[in-house]
Parts: sequence; C-alpha cells; structure tokens
Amino acid sequence: MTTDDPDDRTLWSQAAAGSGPAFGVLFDRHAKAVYNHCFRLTASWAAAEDHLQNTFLVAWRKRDRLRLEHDSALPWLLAVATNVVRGDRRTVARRLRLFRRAPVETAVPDHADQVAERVDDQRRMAVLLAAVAELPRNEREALALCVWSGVSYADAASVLGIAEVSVRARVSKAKARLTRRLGAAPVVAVPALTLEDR
Amino acid sequence: MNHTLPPTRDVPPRRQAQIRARLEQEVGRGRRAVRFAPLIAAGVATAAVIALVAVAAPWRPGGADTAAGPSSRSGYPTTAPPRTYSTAERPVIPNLSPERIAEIEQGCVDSTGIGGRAVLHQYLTDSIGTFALLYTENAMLSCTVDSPTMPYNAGFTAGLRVEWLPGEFAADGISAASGGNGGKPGYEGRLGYEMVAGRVSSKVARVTYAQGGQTAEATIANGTFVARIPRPADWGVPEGHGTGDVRAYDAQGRLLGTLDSMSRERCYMNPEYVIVFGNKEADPTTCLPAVSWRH
Repeated sequence: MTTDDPDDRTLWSQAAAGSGPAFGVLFDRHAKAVYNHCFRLTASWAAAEDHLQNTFLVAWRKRDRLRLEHDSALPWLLAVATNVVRGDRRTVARRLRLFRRAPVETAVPDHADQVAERVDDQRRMAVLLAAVAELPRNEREALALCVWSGVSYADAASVLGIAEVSVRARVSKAKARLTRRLGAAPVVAVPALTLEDR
Repeated sequence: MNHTLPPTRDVPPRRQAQIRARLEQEVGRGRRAVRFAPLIAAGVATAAVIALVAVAAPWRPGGADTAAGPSSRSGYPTTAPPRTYSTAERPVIPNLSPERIAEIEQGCVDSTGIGGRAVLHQYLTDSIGTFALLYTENAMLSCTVDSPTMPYNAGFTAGLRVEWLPGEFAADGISAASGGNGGKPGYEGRLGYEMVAGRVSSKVARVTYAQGGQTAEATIANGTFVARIPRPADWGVPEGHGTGDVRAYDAQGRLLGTLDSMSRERCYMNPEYVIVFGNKEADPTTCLPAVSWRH
C-alpha cells in the first residue's frame, strides 16, 4: 500500500455508501489474508476459495452495519469468515471427521509442483486441525484469529464482542491444551505477520 | 511431526478474478438490492415445509385429529433449546390469563410428543371449534382445544427455521379434516374444515386462502396467520386434495406473494449465507435473502 492509497476506514465508509470500486479495493487488499484464514479453518484450499467469496458477499451485504473502529477491516473480515465457515456447517470438527474418513483432495494433474505443495499444505493443516479439534470452539477460533492470522488481542476482542482479557484467556488455554496434547512437540508456530500490507 | 503452519499462499489468480467478478455482479445490483428488494414471491415454504395431510383417519394416541406432518429434510429435532421471551416480547393473546396460556402451551406440546417449549401465538374460536397456533423453536403446532375426546390435540410441522421467512410469509402448515372427523366416535356433527397457518412479516396486512371454491380471510396476529374454511359435517376430504391458493397483501393491497409463485428449487439464505429454506444444495449466491421473523 502506498501512502496515496486510502486506508480501510475511508474505503469502508465509501463502500457503505454504495461504492463498488472501494469495496473492490478492500477485496484486493484482504483477499489473501481471508483466504489463508479460511484455509486454516478448513484444511482445504478449495473450500477456502468458496468461503472467501461468501465472506466478501456477506461483508458487502452487511457493510452499512459496520463502522470501522480500527484502521484495518481485516479483523472484522476474519470474524465474518469464521462465521461463514461455521455457518456453512463446515466446522473444524466436521471437516476433521471428513478428513479422517476421506483421502486428501485429489490434485488436479496440472502445475504439478504447485499442486503438490498445496496438497502437502492440506495434509499438514489437517494434522494441525486434528490437534486442535478437541478444543472448545471459542478457543479454536481465538487461536485461529490471533495466533494463526495475526489479529491483535484488542482487535479480536472488538470483533468478537468480548473483553480483551477473555481473548487472551482463550488463546492461553488453547495453547496450554495443545501443548499437553502434542507433548514435547512445538505447539503451533506463529506465522510471520506478513500476510498482507495493512 | 511438523506442527508448523503451512505457508500463506495467494488466491489462485483465475479464482480471484472469478470471485471479484461475482462481487462486482453483486455490487452492481445496487445498494441493498438483495436484502431489501421487494421479492417477487413472498416466502412460502410450500414444497419443503408444508405437508398437506388430509385427515380422515381416526384419532391416534399422541397424534392429532388434523395432522400437518413433519416435512423437514433434516427430520425434526426435539431438543433445541427453548426460546425465551421477555414479557414485552411475548405474543399478546386477548382474554386469556397467563395461567390459561401456560396450560394451553403445555397441553398442546404434550399432545404432540415433540418436546420443547411452545409459545401460543393465536387462539381463536369459530364455527369449527377452538384452535390454538403455537410455535416452538423449530416447529409449528396447530392445536385443537377442547375437542370432544381430549383437551388438546395438536398436529405439527417440524424442522422449521422459525427465525427466518422465505420472503414475506411462510405457509407452515396446510391441512384438512373430514366432517365428523371421519366417523370417529364423539365427533358426530362436527364440521370438517380446510385450513392454512403460518408466519408473516410485519409488511403483511392481509392473507387470503382459497380452496374448493371458497375464500377465507386469515386472522393475523403476533406475526402469524390462520385461515380456516368450514365444511359440512358430512364433507369428506377429497382425493387428491390440493394446497389451494394462499395470497399475502400489504396494507395498500399490493400482492406480496402467493403460494403458487414459489418453486421447489428456490432457496433463501440468512445473512451468514446459510440456506434456511428451499434447496439446500443450491449455490448460496443464487439464493434470495430470507426475511427475519421476530415473534
């Protein structure tokens, strides 16, 4: 983002007034982060694509109900994405059950290296989700928001409608449970917070 | 075992372009066009939700003399937590004490055996008898009160997403009963009837029900409607009994929707993009927005 680019707050207010181009810029800016967030909740890149679309459709329809309190729309978009994933009955637990029963998605025999990498992503993510499947849903989602997608505790608290201390507690409990579950293995590495420019 | 997260990846360019095109299409519909655009057809859960059961059979224990059978694709959950109402939110039922309302609610839901907490939305007496319309968290109960053989006798339509309407109204149950209840002892001389009951949005001011050459005006109260057409005591539910014609109008007389205008393939989604009515296999992006029902 250059200094000439309008910030999310400006774009959001324009989108709320009906500006499609402003909403398009928000999409371009945050699609990757939402896409990866959805992947981490589903362990499926294909499902993440569908959820990405649905997230922004829901966001568009709800645009005039939200007044951005922070500079970035991303925390709210990730919360919407979480609800979309949950609402679509593709909860983490359900997806994990699916993964236990079914083989990982068949790769399309094209762009072989990239496809192989993505299939490997899905396997790794399925393993991770298996580890967090036993966590309470609110802890799973707090973990996904704050640890995996790099949303600050304050922003997560805002979009989840709970106190920041509650978010911290959920994440802390989630980490502790995962550590117990995974034994000596490292819990879940915090990804570099370079998901996107915001 | 590797417990690190997979790396972040870009959205595949072709897919990103597709999604962006879909968003542009949505945006191009205009402000709030989807959510609040007048729907061509007011919601009727007809095919998916309505069960037309013309009852000429004798009463069965735990059943109903008029049964709107379960119609949910997902069965009818009976363990959903009961919706709680504040005093201000509760439907207003004139001329009934709170104690009597509680009796009716308990008696009707007990007669169905579906469990849960039912809330009385309409209570009326006509030439056919006394009727109560109730809703649980996921079911509509059409309850005959003070029938000859039992104090409460309710049929039900279950599996409803009662917090949502597929448009401006939902015909949740259509039923019919033969006069004399098909010859059941104790019901001699009782009128038969055809009826429809369901929910309406706040826009709906009038509902009509046409069946067998007659048209009835529905009573509308507490976000619900009930229309009943009495039939003679010797009337029997005809073979191939149809659903009739249900129409909803606003206060200016504008038609908001009809039973016939709904397609089995139409679908409605809530703001979370969950399909709450109609074809659950449909692409949510093709669905119409469901209307919130807050009674």
